[in-house]
Amino acid sequence: MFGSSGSRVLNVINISYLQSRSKRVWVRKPLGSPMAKSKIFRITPKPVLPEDEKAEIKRLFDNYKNSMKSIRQYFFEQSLKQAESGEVAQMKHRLDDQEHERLMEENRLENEKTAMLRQERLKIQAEKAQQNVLASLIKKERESKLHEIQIEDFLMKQMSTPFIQPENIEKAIEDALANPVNFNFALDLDGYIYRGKDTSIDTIPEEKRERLNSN
Amino acid sequence: MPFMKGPAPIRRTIEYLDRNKLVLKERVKIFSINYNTKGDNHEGARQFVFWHLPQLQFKNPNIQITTFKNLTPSPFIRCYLENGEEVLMDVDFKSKDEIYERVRRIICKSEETLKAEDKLDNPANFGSKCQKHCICEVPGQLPCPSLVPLPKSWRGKYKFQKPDEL
Repeated sequence: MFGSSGSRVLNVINISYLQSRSKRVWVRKPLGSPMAKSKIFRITPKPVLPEDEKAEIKRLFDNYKNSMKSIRQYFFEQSLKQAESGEVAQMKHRLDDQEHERLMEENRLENEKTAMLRQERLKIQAEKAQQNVLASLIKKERESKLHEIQIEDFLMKQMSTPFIQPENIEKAIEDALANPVNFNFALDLDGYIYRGKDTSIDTIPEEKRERLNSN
Repeated sequence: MPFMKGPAPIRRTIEYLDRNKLVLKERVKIFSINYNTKGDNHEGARQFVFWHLPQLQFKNPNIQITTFKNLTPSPFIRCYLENGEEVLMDVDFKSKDEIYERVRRIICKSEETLKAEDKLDNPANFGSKCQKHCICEVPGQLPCPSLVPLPKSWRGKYKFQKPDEL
């Protein structure tokens, strides 16, 4: 019914893994089997302890546990200390410290080397920066000079054009009235220009015609 | 199977984390590294943090490792030891491999120490992380007392038992 294994190996740990040649011994009910009919409605009586007894037991238990734990830890620390104080351990400590000193020294030297390299690099950078600044300053000066020259040229040009000053104004008016300028003109297909509004073509002889140059 | 997310996710594999020799000495308690996110002279430090810091923390889970960014013009590593001593390592313009080698030489356990402490390789160690769980598994030694009981004269409870006091 329970389909147990055919072999006769006892399946309880810590007793024996030796095979038994006698009858098969019942150790426990197989795990998937249902509860027996005589046992399904069984209610096991729970062991009832009064509260003060429980408290007393707990108190004793706690005291015991605390003491044992503290004793055990104390012994552990003592054993650590003993291990430290032994000769081998001390020598190891000394060697470790020496090694540490040596490595710190090495580290310090490396740091110094790096610092030197860094100084040089920074120096080169500073020089480059200085040169850059100088170059830009020179450029700016040159440009400002050029600018001044240009301004002067322009001013000269403007001055040289004939502006009409308040003193010349009457003369200028008389001149303008005396010499009217006629902008009208006509062009020929042959490339001759005839200026003036009322010029007729026939009045101008052939040789005196103006050739419109393309300058 | 999709790719693992993130840049260089190989850094998150156990194999990668395990396979390095950056076990710091016991006297080191805090490991801090200062570097900037921009700048040529911090490139090595940045790469070191990117590739090797996870490995370092994996091998030393009980050491505090911190990074400080964009505080100083040049990068450095500072380790705080048990006795209050500080180990300062200037890593200005060094490459990541140089930094790795330096850290390993100065404040990590050496190869010989690691080998001596390694439980797995040494067949003289028994326990959960070793090759054999108990010496009774070795052929030629006493069989396990849970299978074959020891003679009473060898057992402590019978040796120290005082029958008249019982």
